[in-house]
This record gives sequence, structure tokens and C-alpha cells, in this order.
Amino acid sequence: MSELLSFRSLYARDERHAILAGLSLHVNRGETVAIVGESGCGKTMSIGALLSILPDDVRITSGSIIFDGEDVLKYSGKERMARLYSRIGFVPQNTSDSLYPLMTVSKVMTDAYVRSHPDAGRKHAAEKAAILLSSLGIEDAERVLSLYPSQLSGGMKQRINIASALMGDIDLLVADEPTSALDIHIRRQIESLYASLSGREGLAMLVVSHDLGFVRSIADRVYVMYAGRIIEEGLSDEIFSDPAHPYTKALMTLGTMGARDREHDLPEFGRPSSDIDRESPACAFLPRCSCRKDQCAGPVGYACISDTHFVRCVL
Amino acid sequence: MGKYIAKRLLSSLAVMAIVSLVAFAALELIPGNAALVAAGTEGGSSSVASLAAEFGLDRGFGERLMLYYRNILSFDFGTSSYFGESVATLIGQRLGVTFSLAFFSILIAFLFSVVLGTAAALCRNKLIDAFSRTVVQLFSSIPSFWLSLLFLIVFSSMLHVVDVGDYVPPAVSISGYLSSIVLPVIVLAISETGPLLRLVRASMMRVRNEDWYRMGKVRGIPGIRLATAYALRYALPGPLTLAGSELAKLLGGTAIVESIFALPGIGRLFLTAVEMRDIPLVGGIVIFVSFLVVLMNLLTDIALFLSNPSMRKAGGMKL
Repeated sequence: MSELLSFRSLYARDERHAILAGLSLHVNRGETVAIVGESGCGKTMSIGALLSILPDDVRITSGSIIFDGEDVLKYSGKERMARLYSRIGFVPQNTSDSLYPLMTVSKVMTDAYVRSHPDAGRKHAAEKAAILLSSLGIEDAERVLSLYPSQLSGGMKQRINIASALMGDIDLLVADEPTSALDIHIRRQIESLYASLSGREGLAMLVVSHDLGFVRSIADRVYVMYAGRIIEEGLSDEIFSDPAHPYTKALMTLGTMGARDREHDLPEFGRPSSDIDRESPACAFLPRCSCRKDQCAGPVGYACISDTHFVRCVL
Repeated sequence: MGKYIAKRLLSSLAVMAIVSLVAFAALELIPGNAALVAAGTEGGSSSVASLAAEFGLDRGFGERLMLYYRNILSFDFGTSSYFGESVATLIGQRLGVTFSLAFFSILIAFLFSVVLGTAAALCRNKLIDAFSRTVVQLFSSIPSFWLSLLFLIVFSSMLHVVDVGDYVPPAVSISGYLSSIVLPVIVLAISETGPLLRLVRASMMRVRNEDWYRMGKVRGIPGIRLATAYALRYALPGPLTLAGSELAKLLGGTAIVESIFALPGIGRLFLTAVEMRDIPLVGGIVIFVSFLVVLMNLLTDIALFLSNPSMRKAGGMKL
């Protein structure tokens, strides 16, 4: 499988703190990759860096993001999205407010498409939107297209967002916490929708989530993120069946216990400390780790467990 | 939709009824009456009594109130004791001048605020944003009477660019009309720009943090389209409401500027009426201007209602 997207040693910070501290990961073509970790570990910021939607005070200080062989960071925000729109689709975390309220669903879905495909025309785009909605299990697509976002349920808004992201015949679908803030019934529907998308020919997915059950059901590979960098990566089975990092183990315990609420805590470790130096070469998890050793305070490198399984821990 | 407008109309009528009652009560409470003013210093008690009978002042409070409401409903505000003409005619003659001043000054202030406020919000902390903040501070702090005098001295006395003092109705000469109102319109527009510009900038700033705005960027919608077709449309109801109520306020609040530029408007008529203790005229103008305020607010609300699809849907209007 060839590489579609890769983050290479990406550093980002706001005025006071480091946010991403040497983030490196990659997504191959057609592959579904998940990033898991607690709130505040930098999952959403890494997506923001790719899509140029970082908060105003956050800037990237070094590193690169390579998409299809080209460093996208060399383009300004506007130019980057004009280039990437037809290649990368994005489903945001808060889908209820991400559809423009003063336009019909049809207009919301087609407006960007007709601008990037000037030959297509709005009628063709609307037909494409209707077909997409039908393929996502929406039966009366024509009626839904004529509604305004305020008339849609939460689950329907989620599907419209996914459909909007797929309008551009994309290579990569990026989804930020796709199952959060949904009730259990709709969550099941959205999970099976993503499961069907992950089998789609040529479509890679990068999913950021703390919902481990969902991640396990769709991801080929999983990255565990802590304090702005990856601390463990591996195939989904390796991470879930044989976690190596103490932090990953604690996460998995929570996952099997069924704790799926957003602001969860790791009971053994307490809250993550906000004043840790994310850019330090030492292990950032050290203050919370119950298996700490003397070497943890020195530079910590990646240990190779298998060809596909790596962990940043002295073990 | 009909239901919303009917409801809004009813509440406006109720406000008008209360406002006119307050105006009536206020005029009742002030010392003196129209008959005393009309009789003048030479009039004896018999002429005051006959005038009072003519004006209906000898009747009971309830009867006079009913008569007052009946007259208002037939647009009869009585006869001016100073001018000796019908109050409705006097207001009608001067309405064009005041409406021109209010409408054009709000229009200019609104367009200027929308363009500069949008640019400032989209380029936050850049030069244009600093410029817009300076404009807000400067325009809000300049008193309009001072600016009127300055304009008079510079553009009329020194440069002779415009003639001041002769109002030319548009039916006579369009260029003469424009020349006679241009300076006061600019003065009023400047004083209206401060709050409007501040509100447009703040509303657009808020829009920048909306999820759909961020998603519009991610979906590759060009910046100009995102700023106009999306952001501005979403942010405008606040500034439009303010512009509507400011317009209504100006219809009764241009007295100083009208006096300085010697324009025959409602504001100046009101000053004359107060000075001459012309009670029917004062009452007529107060009622008329407050009705205009209520009407402008009603029109603004209906316009906002029609521009918001979710409200329209909720109101049962077929799209």
C-alpha cells in the first residue's frame, strides 16, 4: 500500500504551551487509521494543522505534512483548501452547527462542489447529492435536500455532513469524534455507516476518537496519542489485544469497562497535568505512570515490538 | 407567516395606543392650554372660554380622550395655534425634508459600516481593523452641531461648494435638492456610523467562530463568497435592526442639524412649536413621530422574519 498522508515531526504551539511535540504518523491509500487519546492530547489540533483550521493563536513551528507526495504546509490556508477540497473530506466534531442554517441542505451540499467543478452545474450537483444521500441510507433524499438544517435531527445532520464531505470524490475522509454527542440508537447507525465507508474502494479514513469500541470496529491501524505525540502505534488487533504502553493499557481497561463518556478520566492516574513540558525528550506520561523507572526521565525512544507495533516507552 | 405579521401588527397597535395615551396625558398635565395660547395676552376671559369651547376643552376628560382617539384615527391632529393651519398639513409639508435626511444618512452609514466592518472583522488586528476602530472612536465622539458648523464654514463660506439656506424640493431640481441636503446628510451619517460600524464588526467577529464558517473554509468555498453570501447574510439582522430603529429615531431627532442648515423639516417645526407653546402641534408631532418609530420597527421585524428561512418555515409559509 502506498502512503497517502504523513505527518513528519510536526511541532505546533500557542503563545504559552507546546501543543504538538514531534507528531509523526501516516495513512496509506484505502486504509482506515484511528488516533485515540484523552481530551487535550492534541488529536483535534493535528487535524486542524492538516486542514488549516487551527485557532488563531496556534502556529506550526516545524515539521511537514505530506499529502500525495507534496508538502501541503507550503500553501496558505485558503490555497491549501482550494487544492485539497476535492481530495480530502472532513466531518467535524460538532455536526449540529456545521451546516449553514440559512441555506437548504441541497445548497449547502452543492455550493462548494459547483465552485470546484465549474463545468458540473448546480442541477448535476444536486443529482449527485441525492444519489449520495440514498447511498448513505436516506430514503427520501429529495425531501431532505429541500429542508433547512434546523429541521433535521442530530443523526440526519451527521449523515448530511458525511455526504457533504464525500461530494468531492475524495481520497481521504477525516472525521473528528464522529460518534460523540449521539444517542445510542443513532450511534449504532453512524458506526455501521462508517464501517461501510471503510470498505469503500480507494477511500482512506483518518478518524480521531476516544470511543474505543468504535475505533476497534473500523480501524486497520491505531495511533495512541499523549501530550502532543504518538506514544504507541500498531495494527488494531495489536493495540487492543496486546497494548504495551502503561497509558494504552489504562485506556484499554476503560474501553473494556465500557466507559465511553467524553470527559473521562484515567482512574489509576488522575487528571493529566497541564504544566508538563511536551517538548521534553523524557516520557511525558512519567508523572502519572505507576511503572516508572529511572530511565523514563532521560531521552525515551521508540521500541519495536513487531514490524507494525511500536511503543515510546522504556518498558 | 400571516399569523406572525398579524401578531406583530396587533402588538404595534397596542404600543401606539399606549404612546398616544401618554402623549395626551402629558399635554393635559402641563400648565396652560391651547385656548390660552390662541387667545394671546390681549384675549379676555370670554374669548378664552369661546376658544376653549371651539377646541373642545370644556368637555370632560373621558369625552376629550375619546374625541382625541377618533381624531387620530382620521389623521386629524387638530389646528396649529401658531400657524393657523392643520397640524397634519404642516407635518406633511416638512416630512419630505426630514425623511430625506434620515433615509440617506442611514443608508450611507449602513453601507459604509457593512463594507468597513466586514473587512475589519475578516482582517482582525490588521491595518484596516485599526482604521475601523479609529473611525468608531472618532465618529462617536464628534458632536453633530460642531461638525455642522465646521462643514458650513468650510464647504459653504470658504469653498462655496454648496449653497446652504435654500431647500430645493426634488420635484424642482434634483441637483439643487442633493446640494441642499448633502452636508446635513453627511453630518448625520457620521454620527450614525459609530454604533453601526461597531455592531457590524462585532457580529462578523462572532460569525468567524461559527462551526459552519470554519466548515465553509474547509470545503473550499472562496473567501469572498463565504464573507458575503454566508457570513454577512448571517450577521446582518442585528445591524439591520439597529439601522431601522436609528432611522425611526432620526425622523424625530434631526432638529439641531435642520436648524443649523436652515432646512424646513419636522425637527425645526417641533422646536418652533415648543417655543410658541403651540400645544396641538407639539402633540401632533409627538404622536406622529412615535407612530413612525413603531412602524419602522414593525417593518424591520417583518423584513428580518422574511429573510430567515427557519422562522418562515415555523410561521407556516410555503417556500
